[in-house]
Amino acid sequence: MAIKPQIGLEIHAQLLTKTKAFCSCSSESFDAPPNTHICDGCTGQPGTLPKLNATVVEFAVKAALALNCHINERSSFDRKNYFYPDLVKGFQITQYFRPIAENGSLLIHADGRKKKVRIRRVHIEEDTGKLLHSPADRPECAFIDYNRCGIALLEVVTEPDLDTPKEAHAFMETLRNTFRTLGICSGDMEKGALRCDANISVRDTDRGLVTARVEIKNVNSFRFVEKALEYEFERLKAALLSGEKTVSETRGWDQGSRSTVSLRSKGEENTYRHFPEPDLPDIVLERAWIDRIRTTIPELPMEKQDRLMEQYGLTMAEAKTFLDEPELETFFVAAVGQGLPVKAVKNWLLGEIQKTLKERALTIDRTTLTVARLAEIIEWIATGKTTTHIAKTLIPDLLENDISLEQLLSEKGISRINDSAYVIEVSKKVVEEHPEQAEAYRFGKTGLLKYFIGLVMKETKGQCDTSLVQETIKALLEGNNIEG
Amino acid sequence: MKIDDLLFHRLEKAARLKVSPEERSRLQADIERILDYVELLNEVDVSDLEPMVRPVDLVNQTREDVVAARPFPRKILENAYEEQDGYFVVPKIL
Repeated sequence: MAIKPQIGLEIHAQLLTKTKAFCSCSSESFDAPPNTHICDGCTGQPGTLPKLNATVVEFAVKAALALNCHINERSSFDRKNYFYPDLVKGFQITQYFRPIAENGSLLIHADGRKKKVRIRRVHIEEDTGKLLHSPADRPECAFIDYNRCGIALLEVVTEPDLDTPKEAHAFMETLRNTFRTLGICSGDMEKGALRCDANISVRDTDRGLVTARVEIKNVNSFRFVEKALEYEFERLKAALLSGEKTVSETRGWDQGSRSTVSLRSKGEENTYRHFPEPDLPDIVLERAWIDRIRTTIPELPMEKQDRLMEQYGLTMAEAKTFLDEPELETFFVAAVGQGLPVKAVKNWLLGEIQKTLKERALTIDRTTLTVARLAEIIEWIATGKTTTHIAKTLIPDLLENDISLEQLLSEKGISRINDSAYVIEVSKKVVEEHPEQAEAYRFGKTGLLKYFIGLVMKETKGQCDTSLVQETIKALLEGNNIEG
Repeated sequence: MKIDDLLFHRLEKAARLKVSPEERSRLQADIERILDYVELLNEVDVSDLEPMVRPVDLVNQTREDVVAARPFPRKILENAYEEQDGYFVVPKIL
């Protein structure tokens, strides 16, 4: 039996323009005192006229190009009419009939493979004001801040191509990284700069049944989008299996109960009476201008991930880590550029170094670790001056102190013991103290070699060269002459 | 179109206006007259016409992305039906 969800997303991205979409008010609304970035235009005073921000068009075209969309030579604005206090004018300016771009796609990585998600449309619209429902001291009221009202948004609508909640998560992440790379959206979901509505229906392919479509609104993190969709998939699946009727509705994610709750059924939904916005002339784009914008588009995240994999032989997961942590990537590229071996650099950066950075909530550019210092570590290990084990214990110090390896080792009283006489002495003692295990080894339980090596390393506080210890133990257990 | 008392009351409430009884009967009549006037347009047959959105054929009327703070956010707020802590205050919605 095949029961599968079908998921589509509508994402609203606040554009990083300095001013709002249709007036010259500052669009830095997040930290500003309420109603300080408002004017006669964005508060819908009678007689005012909207005037389109040129940068909004440029950013929209950048996004459309990155999403492989067909860009419409002519696009126009429409009014979406509704009566609600978050919009003072009584309508939202959007692009309903002729969006700026359509029919695109975005490649995402899902479960270790690439997947193409089709984009239905990309259009420009304006944000609404922010409502504060029933504030503590005035529960009978709602407070409104219009600073956000009129900020330029880009809405991206996908086809229902996402097969799992995880893919929805991956899509949002890739879209956010793409927009950040383009410099058109901060992508800060917690500040509402990127918002997601998800549509889901569940299909029983064997019986040819499908549930009603449910829309999940205003979820403010990638993880919650995934969680809400997982919850909704299970809920709809159960309904499908029990034959319960599902209704087309809008639901919200409630973090407290970790479930979705019905907000309104689609039947109650308004009709928006869309009609062309008479106050805004059409946008007509010339090919040459679009081509010029095209040249400004940097290497996009998915392209970069592919390149990193190809150029340095990284795995998909390794390349993704570098994509998510640009400081680490810069360091990696610099180190490899200076001729350090890719494998060693990658293992250090993605291993002990990343772990320590995470623990301290640091990025590598804010530490004292330099490419030269990492080169020193790699060099010392390669030439046997220290061991990987010791070097790992030094990473926290190397991130916080501008100190040479030599100095650090002597300060800490650590030296790599490559004195074979000492290794033999310790090894002999260990073997003598564990006669039963030594006997078992001789009777074929050769896996015990690791056990003995471990004991020696413990005894010497990990300061010995593992290969030397292995050689010595093996010789001892097998009764070979080691003194000569 | 008839604007009866019930509809008028809904409009009054939605617009947060307080209308005196004398104003009410005048406004009711006015709104009815306006709607009837616009109703005239329905008599014209436009089935063969391409809709005209605006009378001028302009395109790409844009402005530079430069902040020009308008001097009167305060004034706009002062026009609010009610204000508190810099917010517009409206009756509870949810």
